[in-house]
Amino acid sequence: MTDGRQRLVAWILIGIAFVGLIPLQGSIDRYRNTFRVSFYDYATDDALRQVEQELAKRGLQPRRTTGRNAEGQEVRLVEAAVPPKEWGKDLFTYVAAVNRIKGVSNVLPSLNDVGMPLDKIQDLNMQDVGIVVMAALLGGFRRSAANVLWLQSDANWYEGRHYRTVPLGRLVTTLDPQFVEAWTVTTWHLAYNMSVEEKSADQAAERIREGIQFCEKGLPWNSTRYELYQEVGWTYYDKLQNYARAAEYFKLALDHPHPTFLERAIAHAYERIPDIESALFWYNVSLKKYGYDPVAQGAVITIQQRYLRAWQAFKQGELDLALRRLKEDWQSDDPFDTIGLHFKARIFEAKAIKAAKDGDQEAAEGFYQQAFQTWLDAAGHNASNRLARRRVLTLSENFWKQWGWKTAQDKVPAGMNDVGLPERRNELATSHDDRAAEPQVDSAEQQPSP
Amino acid sequence: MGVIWAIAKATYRESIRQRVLFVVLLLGLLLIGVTVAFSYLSTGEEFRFVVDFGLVGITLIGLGLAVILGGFMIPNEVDRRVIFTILSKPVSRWQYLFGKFVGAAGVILMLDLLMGIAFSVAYCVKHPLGFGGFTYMVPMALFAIYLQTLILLAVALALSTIATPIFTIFATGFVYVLGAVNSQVTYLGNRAESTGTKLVFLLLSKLIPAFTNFDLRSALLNNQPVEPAAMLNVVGYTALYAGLVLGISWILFHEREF
Repeated sequence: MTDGRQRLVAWILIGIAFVGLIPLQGSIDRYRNTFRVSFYDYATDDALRQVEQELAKRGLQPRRTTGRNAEGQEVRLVEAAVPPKEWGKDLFTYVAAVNRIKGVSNVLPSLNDVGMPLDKIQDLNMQDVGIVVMAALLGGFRRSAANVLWLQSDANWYEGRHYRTVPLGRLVTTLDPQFVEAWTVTTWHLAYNMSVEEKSADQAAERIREGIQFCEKGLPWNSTRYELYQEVGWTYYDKLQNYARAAEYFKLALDHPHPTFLERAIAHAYERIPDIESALFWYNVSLKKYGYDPVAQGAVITIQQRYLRAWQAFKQGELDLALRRLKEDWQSDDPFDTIGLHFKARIFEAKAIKAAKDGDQEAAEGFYQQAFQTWLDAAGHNASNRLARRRVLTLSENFWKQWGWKTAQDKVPAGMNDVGLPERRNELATSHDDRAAEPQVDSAEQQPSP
Repeated sequence: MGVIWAIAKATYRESIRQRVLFVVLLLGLLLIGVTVAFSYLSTGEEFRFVVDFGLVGITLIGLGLAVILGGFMIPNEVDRRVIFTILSKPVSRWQYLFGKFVGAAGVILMLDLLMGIAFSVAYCVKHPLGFGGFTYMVPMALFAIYLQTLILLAVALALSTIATPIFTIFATGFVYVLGAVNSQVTYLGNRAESTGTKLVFLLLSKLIPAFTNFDLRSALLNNQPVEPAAMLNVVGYTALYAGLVLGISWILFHEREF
C-alpha cells in the first residue's frame, strides 16, 4: 500500500472511531445518569408504586427492574433516565421525593460524582477552599477533597479552633452530601459545643435549632442510613427533651440496619413523655427482637409495678383513679422519679382540660396550678429536665393572670429558661410535646415498624 | 501480528527493568498502606476513606505510569538510535507504535494488578463484613481505572511522537484534567441557550476523553451494582478512543523525518 493510501485508510479509521464514540458515549451517559432506587426485601408493591408515582410526577419515566447488589443478592429496583438538562446537578428534588418511602434501601441519583457540580460552586466558601482542594475539585476528586477538609476540621477541633469546625463541616457536606459523619459531627458541634458557649438561652436555643436543621438537610441524601435519624432524634431527646419528636426520628431509623439500642431508646422516650403503653410496647419489641436486654427487662418490671394501673385509668379518662393508683403504686416508692412526676403533672393537666370542657374554669385553673407545681418539682429534682422547665414556663405564661401573679415570671425561679425565649421555645417545643396532656393515645403510635 | 508481539515483548522486558517503575509501584503501595493506617482520622467513615483515597491513589499512579512509559519510550529510542535499527527492518511504523503501546499496557497491567491486590486487602480489612464484603465491583472498579490509564498512555504516546518528554508530561496532565471535568463541559453544553454554543461545548466534550466513564467509586461506596454488560460500553469506548489517538499518532509518526 502506498503512503498516500495508508494515510487515507488511517483517516477513515479515525473518522469511524470518532463517529462510533458519539453513540457509545451517549449510551454510557444515559446509564450513568440513571436515577436508581433499590428496595429492602420487606418493601411492598405499594412502596414501588409510590416511588414510580413520585418520579413520574417530576417528569421522569420510571421502570421496574431487578439487579444484584454488591453482595450478589437480587434486589428490586426502580430506574429512571435523568433528562440531559439535569445531568451534573445534585438531583436533590428527586432524592427528597422518594427517600423516605418505607422499604427504600438505597437511592443513587447518578454514578457520576466526580467534579464539583457547577450549580453547587456558589455554596462554597472560597476562604475555606485551599488551593489543593480547588485542584482536587478540578481533578475530579470531589469526595477526596471533602475527606481532606474533614481531616482539617478534625485537626481544628483538637487544636481548640472549634469555631472553624462548623464552616468546614458545612463545606464538606456541600462537597459530599453522603458524608454521614460530617453531618452528624457538625450537628453535634452546633447543638452541644457551640450552644453551651452562647451567652443567652435564646442564642443557645438558636444553636440547637441550627444543629437540628443542619442535620435534617442531610437526611434526604442519607435517608437509608440510620445515623442521621438517630442524631436528630438524640438532639431532640437529650438537648430539648422533646421526647415525642425524638421517638418519631428513632422510628424512622428502624427501617434501615441499625444498632440494637434504638428500640430501647424509643421506649425511653415514651416513658418520659410519659406514654406508658407505648413505652412497654417498645421495651417488649426490644426484648423479642434481641432476647437478652436486662435494661428492658428491668424497665418492664418497674413500669408494670409503678405506672401501668394508673395509666389504664388515665386512658379511660378516670383521672382521679389514675392519680390515686399512681400515689399507691409509685409515690411512696420513689417520690423524685422523673417519670412519675411527669405522669402526675400530665394527669393534673388532663383534669384541667376536662374541667375547662365542663365549664368549671376555677377548677381548671386550680388543676393547672397543681400541674405547674408538679412540673416545678420535676425541674427542681433534675437540673437538666428541660421538658419540665418548658412546661413550667408555658403554664406560667398562659395562666399567670388567672393565678393572680404580677408577671408571668413572678413565681418562676430565675434561670428556669435555659431553652430560649418564649417565641423560640414555642418553635422548638412542638405540639407533640403536649400530646400526652390528652388522655387519648394515638393508636398509630402503637404499631411497630416491621 | 508477530512483529507487534515481538516489539511488545521487548518493550515490556525493557520497561520492567526501569527502577523508576519500581519506585512508582512502591509509592502506590505506600499510599494504600497510609490510607489504611490513617483511616482512623475519619472515625466512622474508615471504609469510605480507604475506598476513596485508595482508588484515587491508583488513578494518580496510573497517570504517572502512562506519562513515564508513554512519554519517554520513543524519545529514548530516538536518542539511543535504537529506533533506526528497528525501522530499517521489515517493521512498519504503525506496527512499531502499536507494539510499544501493547508492551507498555502490559507493564501497567502488571503494576495495577499488584496495587489492585493491595487495595483489595485494604478494602476487605476496612469493610464492615471483612473478606465477606469483597464483591465483583472491586475488580471492576480497578479494571475501569486500568482502562482510563490506557487512554492516557495512548495520549502520551501520541504526544511523544512529536514532542519532548517534558512537554508530553505537562500536556498529558492537562488532558487528564480536561478529561476529569468533561462532565462539566457536557453540563455547560446542555445548559447553553444558543445552538452554536451548545454545539461547540458538545463537540468539545466528545473530543476530550470522558474520564467520568471510568469512575465507579460512587457505585462501590453505595453498594450499587453496575451491570457487567454496562462495562462493555466502557471497554468499547476505551478501544475506540485509544484507537483514534493511536491512529492520529501513527499519522504524526509517519510524517516524522529522522
